Amino acid sequence: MKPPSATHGAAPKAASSRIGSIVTGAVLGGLGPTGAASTDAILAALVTIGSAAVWAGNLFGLWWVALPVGVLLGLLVRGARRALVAAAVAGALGWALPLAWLAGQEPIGRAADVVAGIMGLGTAGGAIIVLTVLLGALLCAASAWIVVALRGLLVAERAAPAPADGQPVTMSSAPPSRPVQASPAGSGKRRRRSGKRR
Amino acid sequence: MRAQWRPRSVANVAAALAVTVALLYLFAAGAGPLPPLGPTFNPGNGVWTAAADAALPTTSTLHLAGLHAAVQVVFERNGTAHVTAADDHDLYWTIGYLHARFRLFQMDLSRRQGEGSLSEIVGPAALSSDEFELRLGLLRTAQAEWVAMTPTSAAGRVLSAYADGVNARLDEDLRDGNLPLLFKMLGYQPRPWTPVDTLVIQGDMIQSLDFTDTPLDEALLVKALGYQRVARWFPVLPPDAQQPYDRGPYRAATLAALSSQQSALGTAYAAIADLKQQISALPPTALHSGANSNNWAVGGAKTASGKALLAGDPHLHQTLPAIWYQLDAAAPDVQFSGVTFPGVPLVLIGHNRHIAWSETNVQNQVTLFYLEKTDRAHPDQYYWRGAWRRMRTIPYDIAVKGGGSVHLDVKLTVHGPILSDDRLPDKTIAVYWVGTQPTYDIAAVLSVAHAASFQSFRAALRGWRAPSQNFVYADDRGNIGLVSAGAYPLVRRGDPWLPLPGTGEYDVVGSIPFDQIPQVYNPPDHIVFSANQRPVGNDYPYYIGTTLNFFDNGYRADEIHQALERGTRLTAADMERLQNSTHDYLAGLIVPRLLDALSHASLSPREARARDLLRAWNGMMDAGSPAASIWWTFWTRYLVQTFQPWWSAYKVPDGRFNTLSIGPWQTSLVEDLEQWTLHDPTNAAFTPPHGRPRDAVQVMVASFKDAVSKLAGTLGSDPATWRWGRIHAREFDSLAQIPSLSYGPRASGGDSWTVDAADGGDIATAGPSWRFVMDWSKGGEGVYPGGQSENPLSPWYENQIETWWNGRYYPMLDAAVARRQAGSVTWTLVP
Repeated sequence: MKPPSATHGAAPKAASSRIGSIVTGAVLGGLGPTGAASTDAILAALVTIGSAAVWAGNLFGLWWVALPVGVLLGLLVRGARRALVAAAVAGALGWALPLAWLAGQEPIGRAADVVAGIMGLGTAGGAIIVLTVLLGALLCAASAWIVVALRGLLVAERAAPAPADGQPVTMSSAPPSRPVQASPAGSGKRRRRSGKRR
Repeated sequence: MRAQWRPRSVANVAAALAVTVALLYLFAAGAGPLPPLGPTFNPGNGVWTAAADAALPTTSTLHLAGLHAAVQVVFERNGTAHVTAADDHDLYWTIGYLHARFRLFQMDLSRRQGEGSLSEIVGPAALSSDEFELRLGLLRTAQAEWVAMTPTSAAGRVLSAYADGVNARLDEDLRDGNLPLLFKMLGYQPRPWTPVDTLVIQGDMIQSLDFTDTPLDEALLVKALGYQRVARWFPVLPPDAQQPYDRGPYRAATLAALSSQQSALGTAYAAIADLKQQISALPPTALHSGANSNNWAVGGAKTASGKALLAGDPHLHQTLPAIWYQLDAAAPDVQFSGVTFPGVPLVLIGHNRHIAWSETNVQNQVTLFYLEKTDRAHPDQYYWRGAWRRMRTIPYDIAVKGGGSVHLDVKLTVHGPILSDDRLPDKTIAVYWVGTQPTYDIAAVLSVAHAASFQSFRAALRGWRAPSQNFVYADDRGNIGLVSAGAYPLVRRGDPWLPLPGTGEYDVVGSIPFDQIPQVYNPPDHIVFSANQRPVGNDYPYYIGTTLNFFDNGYRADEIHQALERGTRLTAADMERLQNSTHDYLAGLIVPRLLDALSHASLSPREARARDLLRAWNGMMDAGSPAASIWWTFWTRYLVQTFQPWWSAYKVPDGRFNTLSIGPWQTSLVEDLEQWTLHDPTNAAFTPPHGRPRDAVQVMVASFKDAVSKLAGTLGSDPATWRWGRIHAREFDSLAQIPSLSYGPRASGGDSWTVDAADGGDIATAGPSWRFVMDWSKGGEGVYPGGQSENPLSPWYENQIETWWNGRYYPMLDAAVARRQAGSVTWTLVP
């Protein structure tokens, strides 16, 4: 699979010289390296760190840690789909790996069967395990989705012409189409994705 | 194009926010039956910790603040715990810790049941139960008991130390995120344990063993069948010959004798039916229905060893986790071994170094209903002793999961709480129940644990008020005894088995003095026994209850009496055999009469084969016996064929109230039918109202044919395949009513009146909840159908069921022997 950031990742390096620019750039386009190999490595690293954070949070009962992890992955991973997938994978791993680790020592399968029975699902323990993993994925992906959606909104906002002083912006006054330039990183992809949506 | 783009972005953000907020809500708070998904399922400390919690204890040292000195806890391979402590505080503290370690959810559920706070965790479904409990007032009674007890009394110190031990474990669970599974599934945390909680659980047991609504049943029967007919068919004294254990002679009554007269029920039937309806909706353990338990003792003169034997098997609702937690506890000045209720730190059935004891329910009437005269012109008042009196009102707000709270005003009269809704203009119903008054059972059981002779044992029981119990006794010197301890309320006049006028003339005026309650010590035949039969003969000078409320029909007592009376050189093995006996005493009386009746009847080949099976039958209600099925179905049909025409003609509301329907659970009718079949076969009751004359022989033959037809329809055409186990089973329900955590149904022998009782219908849910035999020549043994842990994943969840099912026992070891046993582990608890 060809990474979509391969042809669009050079500019943010310069833009990130200041913290504000980093944040702006991240929100609008997501951080990304220049090469395909390093992108994959960084993505993998981000997912691993995210999973570890979710796992660690769960160890202390902090199930909601998946939320900020999802937000961070939404901020840091370029591309809506990639960010969502990365977040879902990190959340799923953050909930699945501790279960797998527990299963090596304790009767997790039987525990799942018992929980399924209590919930009136017979002995569908497998469904409970899948549900658990899915919960982690959903929680992480949902918060990433907020960031991705906000980013889309802000990108669109930047793409709109500045209204003249005292002149209200109306939907009908906006030009029909204009290349998005506010953040070089990812802007081309944003346009393409917008086009796809249409 | 931009006109389309921006709304989509906004919508995307809105959708993302909406989904995330919805997920957050589901994760944090749950929805409907769903628990909060985050804390429930997270792999760190959600439900998955149940798997680790299920691991059996290992030999280790636990550092626990709150102890005075080191305590040793030895766990046998089957989970039985042995606690050895340096002082009483540490002993009861450790029992609290163990109960919480293995039964915390059960304890919390029990206290919530009694305190009327189940709705807070399960929602509106439990609201009617909570309202009823708050009206009945277990919590008020427990609070009054704790105030009266004082924390510095011996019992107060026990309860305080116990609560501290429970809370030590609770704190650990909270700190480690290790609460038992069902707390997580229900999404709540238990609050700290208090001595009042223990007293509420004591109240739960009083309620389930002593609170009845039979006066309401009896009133509805009177309305339908008429007073005279009810007096004949539901008599105070049993119509058949029974075996009371205390045969007298009795001292004359020291309170005025009762004068029987019809109670003025007047217009109260609607209120009675309403209240009955309300009570019918309660969980089965909320009121006492039916008879429970056996116990007996044999003096050294009749045993092979020359030492006394004692046996006890309380018949209670059989649940998982079981009602019992077994332990052996020792401190320098006390030692006891047996079974405890989780939530109560003392052994209720067991032994110490010198005496052994076990209980059955006395079944005397301790619930009386009063029809309070009210008037709309006098709101919140009732008429008593010639004047209008203001009811005391206690407000409650019941928290309801997912629905805020519900306000409830409980009103009290001099008789007790008002239970009925105030729908009638001139009547409401209050209940006098012994459980609404403080009882000092903890102090009594504590004294029993320290007793070393019958004198000290009997003295300890003077303080016991409720539930009234037949305490059997046997000691290491060969003495035996039985004391039916408890309160025996007496009314000045009226029919206490019916609702009584509340105007003052029919009030409770006292109780039978302790020295005159049923009791025996070292009787000349060297046996004592109780099986919920009327404990005294018909010439006992006090009213103590009726055949409907609730003395057992006596067949278990007859069977036990027969076995012990005939026995010589009895051993513990004989006690075991008797506890596990499925011989139906009534069948032994009736089947010969039935065979006589059938000898003159024209039978089909299938009916003849069924008759032949009965002829060859030994009376054992074994799961593999086809004759057992034929007998039981015949007897049930015989009851129905005799009485149902009357019920239908006089419109007994048996469709509305199951307790009024005809079946083997109608103790009075069973005794009537036995008596008429054996001694009065032409009794007028056999002839239906406005029907052709019939006698016992005709009804028996018709019932037999009916039974064969019914069984053929259910089980097939060949009577030889009609095994009892195909239509009769036992089931041990999960305490939380979760089918997947229950055991069974499993084909089983026994019936309602075999010594090995199976109560509750075709699928029995009550029976021997603990079988205990004490042989003073070699030690005790016991078993209960369940396991020490409430965790369904634990190997100790139901590990004792198979042993119980097969009629086997575990030896009750002392700590030193248990420690040397293969597979035992030891906890050393250090402060």
